Amino acid sequence: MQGTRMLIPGIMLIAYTSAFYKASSVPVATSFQVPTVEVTASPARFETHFASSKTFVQVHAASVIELRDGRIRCFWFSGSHEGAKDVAIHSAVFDPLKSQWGGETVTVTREQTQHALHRMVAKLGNPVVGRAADGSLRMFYVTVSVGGWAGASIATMTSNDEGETWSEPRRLVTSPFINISTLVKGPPFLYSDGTMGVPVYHEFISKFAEMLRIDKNGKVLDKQRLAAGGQGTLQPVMLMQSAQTAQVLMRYAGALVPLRVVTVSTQDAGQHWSAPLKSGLRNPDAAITGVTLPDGRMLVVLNDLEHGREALSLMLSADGGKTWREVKKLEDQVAASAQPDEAHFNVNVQTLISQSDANISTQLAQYVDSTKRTVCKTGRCRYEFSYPYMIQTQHGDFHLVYTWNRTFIKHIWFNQAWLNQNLENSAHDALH
Amino acid sequence: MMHFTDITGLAGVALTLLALTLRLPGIKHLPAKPKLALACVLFIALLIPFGNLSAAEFMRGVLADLSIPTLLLLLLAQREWLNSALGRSRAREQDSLLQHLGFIQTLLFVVIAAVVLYPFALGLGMYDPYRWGFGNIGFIAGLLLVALLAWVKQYTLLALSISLAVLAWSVGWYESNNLWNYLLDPWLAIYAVGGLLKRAVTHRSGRKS
Repeated sequence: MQGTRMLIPGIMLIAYTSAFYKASSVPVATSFQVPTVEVTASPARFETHFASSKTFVQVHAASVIELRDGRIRCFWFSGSHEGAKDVAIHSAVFDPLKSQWGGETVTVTREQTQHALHRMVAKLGNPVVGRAADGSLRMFYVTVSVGGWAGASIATMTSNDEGETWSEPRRLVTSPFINISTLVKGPPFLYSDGTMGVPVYHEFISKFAEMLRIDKNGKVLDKQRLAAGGQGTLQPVMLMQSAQTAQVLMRYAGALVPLRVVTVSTQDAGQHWSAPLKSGLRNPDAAITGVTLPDGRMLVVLNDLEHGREALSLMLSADGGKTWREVKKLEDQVAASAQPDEAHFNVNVQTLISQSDANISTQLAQYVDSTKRTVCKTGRCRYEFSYPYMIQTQHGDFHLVYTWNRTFIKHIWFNQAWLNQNLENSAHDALH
Repeated sequence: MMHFTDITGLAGVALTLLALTLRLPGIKHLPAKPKLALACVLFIALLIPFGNLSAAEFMRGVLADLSIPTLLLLLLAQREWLNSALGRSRAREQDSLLQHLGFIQTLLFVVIAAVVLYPFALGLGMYDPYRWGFGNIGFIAGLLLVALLAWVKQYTLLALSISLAVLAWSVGWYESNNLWNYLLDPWLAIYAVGGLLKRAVTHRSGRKS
């Protein structure tokens, strides 16, 4: 072994010289790239659709992105049930000029992911997409090899044709423990140096939110903790206020009352984060979404409840998240959930489907049956409006998608004029 | 085309599976040359897909990519019969060889690293030492010091394990861009804890007798 021993100084010289060089080449992100929004004046608009069209499947975890031509592309996971081997990432495109969703296409399957990653993949889910600095789309989605979602890792792939075709998925390594338990839900964002921030969370043994920074090749450059394990934070959503300041809102998965959305903030573009604080927003251990308006107000969609996901609200804060007011209750089946029998459900859900999408009247019975099959178990039916995901387009319109009773992905399109109108109405109501 | 990091990752997993298979009764005591032939066949077989996945691909989903010290220890464990199969002079007994290399010190380093890393990476407190692995200069300097100290103290295996892990990270040997994934894996940590406990028990019973 004397020979090996004498080789070591040479190995050390090469290893540490290249390691120090690599470490010194990691770019430091000093500011956020704030998206530009130029609100186009237009009449108030509020319309709803179903983005997904397949029936008798379970769908969940939708996300959307604005395409270069102004259309909206939505992604979600769909299959016989959550975690099933046939679950794949599906996509559809909404054309605002026609006010219509196109047909569903499959973006990536479990088998394709498994083949490309060269490892067993048992299930996949939670697709989110961001636009990279070079204009391409980058998708992140979770894959699980063994066990439940707590054993998930993130896969990523890119598209140079606005989501029509995708590169082979690659795996992000984000954890020292068999690379498990990093999941994604919130929209990615850009730093000024072109690297991408991805809000993620950890679920194995303890639950906490984190922030990843990814380079243009999809390599993880950094991972930062936003809250400690005991604080029960999940699914962070970044609300950027300026190039230096931002707030992150997080689902609260703990048991300490009051059950509220947890927030952290930064004043130096994410180099340091404040201690987690409970906000005034109620949270039943459910995902939230939000955007910052060009004037700094914050708009959030969440289940404004402490238990259950039977209602979904649009909330606004004009004072940096200190206080919130409800702009509109987007869904409210809390009272209907008190009558959870199938007969009542049939009548009610028929109305809900018709109100959600006027274009599906010919398939109404099929949509009702499909919903009932997912929602009603052993005679009891449980409504669920969950996993909201909202973006604001370059022209100021808002597109919100969310899981509608695990059966369809519902899309709500509204604009600034509608928002202002509702704010005036709710202020008027408050005065009386 | 297959990525370089998939080739290295799968080769590591296949090597691990092969090393474990060669420990099975009936194979363990095979003569060196048939054992080498069997090892070559098995290694290739582990990488050939049956259905959708090869055995190495299937197990890669469970094990993840294995750290450099794990692979080094596995290779070292094959040293005796490999030397014999290749017609080289017989290496000294495995135990004394490992002792000579600083085997115990390597296991100790692994256990200390695991204690520093895993509880905090799994959420204990706000501080996450896993972050050091994304190119923290102080962390690399610390590893350099430990490796130098190990070399001076003639803990060759420890110095080699750390330095090769750092080298592998520098050149992007695996998918991971985090140095911790090259230094340590949970399977190695479990092995190190077991190895140290076994040594402690053996040492204690030796003293009693």
